[in-house]
Amino acid sequence: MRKLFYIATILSVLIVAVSCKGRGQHGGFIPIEGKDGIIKTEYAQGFKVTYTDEGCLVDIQDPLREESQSFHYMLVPAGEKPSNVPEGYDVLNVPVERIVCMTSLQLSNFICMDELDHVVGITSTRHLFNPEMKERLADGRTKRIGIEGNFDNEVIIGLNPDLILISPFKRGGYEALKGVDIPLVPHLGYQETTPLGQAEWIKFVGLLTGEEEKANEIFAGIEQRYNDLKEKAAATEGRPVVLSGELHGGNWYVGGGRSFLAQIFRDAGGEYFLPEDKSSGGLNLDFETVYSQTANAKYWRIVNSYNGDFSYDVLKAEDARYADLGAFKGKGVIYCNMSRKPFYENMPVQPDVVLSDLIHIFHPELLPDDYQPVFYELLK
Amino acid sequence: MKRPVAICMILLGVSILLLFFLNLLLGSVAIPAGSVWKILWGADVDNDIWQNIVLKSRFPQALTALVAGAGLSVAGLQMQTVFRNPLAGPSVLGVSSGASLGVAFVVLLSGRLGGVALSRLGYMGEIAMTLSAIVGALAVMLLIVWVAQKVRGNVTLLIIGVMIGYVATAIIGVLKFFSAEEDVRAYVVWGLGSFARVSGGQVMTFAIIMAVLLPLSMLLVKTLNLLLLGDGYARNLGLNVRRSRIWVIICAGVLVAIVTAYCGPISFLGLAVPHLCRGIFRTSDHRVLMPASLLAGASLALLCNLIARLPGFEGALPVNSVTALIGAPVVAVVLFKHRKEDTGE
Repeated sequence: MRKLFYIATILSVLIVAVSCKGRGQHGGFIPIEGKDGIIKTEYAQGFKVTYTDEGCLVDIQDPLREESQSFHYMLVPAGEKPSNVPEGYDVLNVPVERIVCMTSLQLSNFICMDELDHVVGITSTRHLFNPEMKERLADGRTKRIGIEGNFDNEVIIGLNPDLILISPFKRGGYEALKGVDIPLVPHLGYQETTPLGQAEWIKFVGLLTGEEEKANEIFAGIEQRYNDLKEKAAATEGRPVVLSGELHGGNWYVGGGRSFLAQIFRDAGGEYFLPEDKSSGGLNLDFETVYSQTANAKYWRIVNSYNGDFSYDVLKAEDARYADLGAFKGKGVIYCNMSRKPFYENMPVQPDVVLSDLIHIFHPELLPDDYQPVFYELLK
Repeated sequence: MKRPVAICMILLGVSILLLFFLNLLLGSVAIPAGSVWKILWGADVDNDIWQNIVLKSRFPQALTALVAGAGLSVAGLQMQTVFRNPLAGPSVLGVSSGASLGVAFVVLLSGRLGGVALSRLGYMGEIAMTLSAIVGALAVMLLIVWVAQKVRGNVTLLIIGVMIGYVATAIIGVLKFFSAEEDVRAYVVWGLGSFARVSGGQVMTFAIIMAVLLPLSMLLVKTLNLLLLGDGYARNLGLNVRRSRIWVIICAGVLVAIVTAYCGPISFLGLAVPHLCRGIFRTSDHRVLMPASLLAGASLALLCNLIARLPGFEGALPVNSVTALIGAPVVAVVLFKHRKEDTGE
């Protein structure tokens, strides 16, 4: 009897001790009610977060291609060795201090979070607008690592990054990096099919940089503004049809009827020109297919980096057939020049701004008279 | 056994007409044959969309295919004869690499040189590309002509031409390496080659230029027949071999330059069609082969264009894949049959 009491006492002391230790070590990861530091995804399809006692599990998978390779990471506070790592998970220590970004979209997340201090390397982009990033490049705090597919591995190793964010379905060139023993973590924001889903990837960056709270707060603001605008636009009557893109080498590459673009046009009170199409990726169509379906479309969205003043004359000179499109005749071209506006640098984290630009064009009565467009304007 | 030349020529002509009409008739958008016929003759069909598709999209594309196919095949035949090399094609002298280099300069450097970029000279895009391709191709051709004046042997000239092509490709590689991704993609799209790129006013310019050049190239028929005999015989028969060689190269080079400028590098047709014609007509007489290559090239290009745009494919297939996929078996079969009969004789 006495022996039993003894054992019971020792056991209970042990249990208390162990649980206290656990709490002390992993305090940051145990969900605390009412705290904003927990990342939960609502719109993004590409990553999922689960919390465990020792850290947090992040599962990344291309939302457009379910059969593609998935990626699994266990984020644990720096300096700790988790005792129980689920199979197939790679351990990443957070917060991550030094990160290399491969795309403007990834960079946009850091810009929006005001965390550019973490970005030590970026790929060479022709258009860069962010003044802070330019400054960092000028004084060498951030370095250019070359273009995708042709990285300068010595520069990358010299940067000694903790982590490299990649877009694994683009041009690649990552094989050589794999030998360097720096974790390559995919950022699949560009594969999301909804604007809010794409913007929600800032929460992923928040997880990596240990700024979950800030990320949640910023995203909540984006979400609120976006959904308010969407609600307003949903109540309007008359949804103009919108076409997007340009011919390249005889093919018209367009987003599918369930793509990101189609979604934002719908949310802005418009209708994408492929309402029947169920694909969320892109399609190659030839001119006559596009033309026969959009001869009477009211609007036509074009984003390019034309060197000079883009106009209807330029469009017509590029291809005389463009002049037959309804949106051309009715001067309904919605245009954004990437060489003049920080489109890819800001758009991913400002879907609310993009949406209001579009609403301003589709349903101007919903917005104040003095509304100033940021990205998209009607071509005069 | 020689085949009746006239009948074969007429058959080729008829096939061109037929394929041309099929090109107008078939596409992703279904348009009834009756309407296409009416649109073609200027009658009103009460459907602007159909009218625009047939007249502004399918017609220019078919015309481009026809003219480009003819031009490349004639150029291929000339190159094969002048170098006495069955593997010579229009691209062998680096002329199409030159065109590619010109386009690469415009497309890939457009951001880098800022205000001085070639693309600002005209409208960005297709027209600037066309001009730069012509400039690039002709520059390489002039270099070749200069070399041809200095070099005696055909093989030496051929190798130098191939080397020039390598240099051009290497420069393109360096340019690509330092360029932004979207520019590289624009360049790659150009490099796929397409009959669909030329539109509106451009196609008329293209067709008119070729309508002048192709008959001019027929003037070289006699020279080519003499060159076929070998340099020694040709010289004995009073031919200035070196000068004729230069004329043939200029002729073929200009043809390739113009076609490449408008359609991008189209491979295979120029190499294969001359063999196809030799197989069909069983002759090496250029009085037959030149017009035959012209007609066969045009109809093969139309056939490929038709297949590339058949409904069911998402968008148009890259024409270069189709030319080789469709053309290679056709040529192989013709040559194979020819060979069997040869040995049987």
